[in-house]
Amino acid sequence: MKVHVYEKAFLSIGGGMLLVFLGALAFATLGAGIHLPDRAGSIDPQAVRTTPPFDDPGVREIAPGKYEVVMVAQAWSFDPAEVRIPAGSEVTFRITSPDVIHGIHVEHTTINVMVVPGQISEMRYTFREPREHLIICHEYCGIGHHYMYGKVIVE
Amino acid sequence: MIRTRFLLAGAALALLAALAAVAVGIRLAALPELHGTLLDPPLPAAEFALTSADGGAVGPQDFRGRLVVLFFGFTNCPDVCPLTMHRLGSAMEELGDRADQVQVILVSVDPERDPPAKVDEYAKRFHPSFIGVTGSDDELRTVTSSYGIYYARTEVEGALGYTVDHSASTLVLDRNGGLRMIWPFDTTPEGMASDLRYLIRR
Amino acid sequence: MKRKVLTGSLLAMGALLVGVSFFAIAQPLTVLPRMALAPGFVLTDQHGERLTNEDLRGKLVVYTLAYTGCGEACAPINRTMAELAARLDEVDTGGAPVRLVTISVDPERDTPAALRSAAEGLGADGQVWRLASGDPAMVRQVVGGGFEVFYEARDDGTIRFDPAFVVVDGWGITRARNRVGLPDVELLLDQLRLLGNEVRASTGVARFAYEAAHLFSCYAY
Repeated sequence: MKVHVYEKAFLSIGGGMLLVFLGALAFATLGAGIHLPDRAGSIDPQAVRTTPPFDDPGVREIAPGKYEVVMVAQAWSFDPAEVRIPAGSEVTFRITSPDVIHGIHVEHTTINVMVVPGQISEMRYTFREPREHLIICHEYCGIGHHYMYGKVIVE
Repeated sequence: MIRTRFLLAGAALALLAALAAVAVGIRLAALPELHGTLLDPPLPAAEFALTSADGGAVGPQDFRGRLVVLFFGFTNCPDVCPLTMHRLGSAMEELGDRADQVQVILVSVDPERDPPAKVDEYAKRFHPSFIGVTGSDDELRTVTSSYGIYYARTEVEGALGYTVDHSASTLVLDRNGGLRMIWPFDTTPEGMASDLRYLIRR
Repeated sequence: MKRKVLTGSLLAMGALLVGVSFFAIAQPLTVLPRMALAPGFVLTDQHGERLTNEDLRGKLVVYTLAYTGCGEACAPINRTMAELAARLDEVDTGGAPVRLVTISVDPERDTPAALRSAAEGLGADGQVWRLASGDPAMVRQVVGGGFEVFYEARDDGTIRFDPAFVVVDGWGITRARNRVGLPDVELLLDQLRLLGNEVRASTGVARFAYEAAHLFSCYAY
């Protein structure tokens, strides 16, 4: 079978890139121990509003300087939509959804996770500087998806 | 008939998978005889800011890039603390020129009798590079609990008045500030040095 | 000759690939994640004796939260713990003892005497299942800071808290935080069973298989 030299080159480059990226993936997972965030628990999506702690979403101070934000992401809002915390606090977000898949990203932070009905997503971040962060839904969730946002106000 | 060329390409891909599996095997099997509990992958270790001898705030996050060894004790400790500190000093001697990759911090859980200057002076008796810090009871409670350590003031008879019972484990953080190793109380200096050498290599 | 070598090495590596994929997909071994270091604490149990996390080192521990003045709200939690205590011998933990600790979220009012009378009603024998309370700041640090569970006193004097069943292994590492709703006793027994498997496999070749499971498999629960 005659393979044109350009095609051979293209295949080699593609194959080479594949090997390099697979190697990088293997190194990251096995060598550096980097893993994607795992689910932090399961919940019956139809009983979200009656299962603690999601029966009372909000910001709670669990220990001095440590806060927990229990949030429900539903079409098409975050509950609570506004999160106020003092600067320097370590915050753990625990979010679930009773309806469809949403995403949550808090701007300028590393909080970026999918919110899947039936699962609880947990992400941690320490807010050091006083500023406002936008909370956005980055997974298409219906006709009101582009209205789905909230705010984290660090005081 | 399979062309040699395609055989080669397939072999390359399978080679990658084999290398990955072998890398894992090496990572697991090449663990030398370790003397403490190795946490792999490392667990998050809390940052803190306790008071040092010059009044500044010191915590493990100030020593990123080096291994940080944390021990919780107090200067009036009759046996556990001097023994552990002495062993840590010997381990540092054994490390020789690698010792600059390790920073030992002694945290005093007896702030009433141990001002920062006293803890630091006590720590430096065992090795000049050791640092001693302490803080208020509130700060200490948060720090010790987050490291799985407890301390409790216990009244005793005699001139000492009270002693402080505390966990005797020594904790080792890696260069990125993750908790890597927990040594039980009776770890030997040779064991500590060997484990530190392993962690320095990683 | 060259072709034979190539085919041979290709088959060998293919076998390795298949083996690893099988391990990752079929997941014959499941493990609980090593989440975080469990908090260090000093508390007092229902006999007035000191209980520290060092006393529980080497043991598998299930922590839960309740308080003596709780009444009906804590009944399901206490029932689950009681059933767990009764069924502990169904689990082979490889020789590691299992302990149950109920920490009071009302440390101001729950003195050892109060805990003792509550314990009698619950069947907490003080050996396997202990009730513990202590300095309010210590309890806040352990429950809020360590186990990250929120609790606060309501205006009417009752305590609002999220139910939690936290499983900690013998190395002092939190392995499961059952924090949503009320877990089934079967689930807790299964988690203890998984930890027991790891205890049994902690020496020898089996250890490598379990470490590989930590790397390759999705975590149970």
